[in-house]
Amino acid sequence: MNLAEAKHAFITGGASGIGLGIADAMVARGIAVTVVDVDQAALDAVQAGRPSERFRTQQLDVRDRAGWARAKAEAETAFGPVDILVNNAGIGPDGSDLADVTLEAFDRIIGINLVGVFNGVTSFAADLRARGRGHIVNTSSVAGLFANAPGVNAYAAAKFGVTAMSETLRAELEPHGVGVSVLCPGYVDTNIIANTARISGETNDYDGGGVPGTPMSTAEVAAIVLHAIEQDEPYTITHPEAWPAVEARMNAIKSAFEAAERRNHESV
Amino acid sequence: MNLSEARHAFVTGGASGIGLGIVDALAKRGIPVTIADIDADTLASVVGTRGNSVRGAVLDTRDREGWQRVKAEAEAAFGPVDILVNNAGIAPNGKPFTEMDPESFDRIVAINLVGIYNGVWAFAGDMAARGRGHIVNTSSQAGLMTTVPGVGAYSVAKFGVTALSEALRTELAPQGVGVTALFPGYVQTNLAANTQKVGGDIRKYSSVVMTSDVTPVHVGEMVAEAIERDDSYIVTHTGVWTGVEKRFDAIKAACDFREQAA
Repeated sequence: MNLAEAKHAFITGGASGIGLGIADAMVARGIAVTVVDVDQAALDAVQAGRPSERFRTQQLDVRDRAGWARAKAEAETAFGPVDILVNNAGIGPDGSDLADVTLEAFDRIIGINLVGVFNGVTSFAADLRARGRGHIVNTSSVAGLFANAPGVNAYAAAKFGVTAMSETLRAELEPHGVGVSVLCPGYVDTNIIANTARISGETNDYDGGGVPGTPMSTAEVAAIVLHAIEQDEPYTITHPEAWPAVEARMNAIKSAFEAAERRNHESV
Repeated sequence: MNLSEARHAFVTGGASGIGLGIVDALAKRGIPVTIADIDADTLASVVGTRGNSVRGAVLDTRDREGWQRVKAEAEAAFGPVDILVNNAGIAPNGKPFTEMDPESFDRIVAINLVGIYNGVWAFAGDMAARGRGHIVNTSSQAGLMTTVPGVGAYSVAKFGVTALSEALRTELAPQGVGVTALFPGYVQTNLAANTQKVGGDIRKYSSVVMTSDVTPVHVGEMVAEAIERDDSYIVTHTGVWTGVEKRFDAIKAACDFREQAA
């Protein structure tokens, strides 16, 4: 969508990292922003020094469906209908092998990184469709495109789900004038690992091993996201270095289709 | 793995459909099988006609205590499980995301994604410790692409299963345990009726289901052969490759765009 026509953006996980980068970039473009985050202290810190007429904060755990309804109502009372939803809140990989991941850690990753995104979609997508305008950005990951980096198992499962959800939603909303982009960041300079440890109450073994590329600043990611909204990009990539891993996966899947083709010919 | 060395297979959603096809293919090769299924009546009638080396266990794959209980009972009866087939699943709900009840989304994710993780949780550590075994996870062609209307939540779960399978394969390979993701297209099963039994709504989805000449018997044989060869993936229907390739092309275009912009 044309960002000059956007009046209100709602950004989850917006008190730090990629979410805050997007919030700041949107405020700079004249868009009012509601930033929600599970971390009240971080929200208080980012509110200070930012213009309250264009930047407001609200605590939300994206797993809390009643909380979504409340946050939406308060946000729209303050700044009007939401044109742009950025489902960005997420925690990092667990770092353990899947056989060693605890049930609680698995459920937490699915609850926040996958169901949390669905909760945002069900809170806002029908309104955007009814108004015939708007854009949704879902933050997936390069791990939403390939899953064999070490320690990303449950995280990749959630992020593959976000990628799939975004693709389907894009097809569903396109005829109604609403765009959907899935953001698949690689290595970005954020505090996701520390935040994950704080939210989960567990130390985290994840060391980012296997993530291709060099760290990108959140401001640079934000510029990429704003461009993606303006151009209605289906997939938004920060690190094209990820492609060889995706391509290797594609080739392995293609081989399975070719093997099936040979098998089906033989059985005829 | 060499199926002649497999001592015990555990198949969820095994009382009908693809699961039963897999049960029969493995039993035919002399492997004792525990069939786990949520539907006690169907389970009893299936087990009753299959001899002493097939046993049944009532299991809702969402129930983690249930997993521990049926695992202990299964291993007491037939010994350590060498093959786990995480096959239980329900059908798409036919709804776009804008009209989807959260409960329907939750049910699909809980059964089709978390239910499979629960099986991994119950068995993968033991297999890794024994240095042998194989896990088959039933994904779907909707775990590779997203173009069929009304399959949104189902695709979300099945993409998750695809990712879990790929990650698990990488993690368990050094320990001698194989992992295969199964991507069925439309197979002749009673998935729609079974989905209604567990409270799912399939009315809209049923209207788009195509006919198929692929039977669970075919799929069972494909799975047995894939376990023997330790294949990463099993594809039942080749027609969807065009759609899968188109999706990868779009991702590549996005990577190329960023490369050029940088």
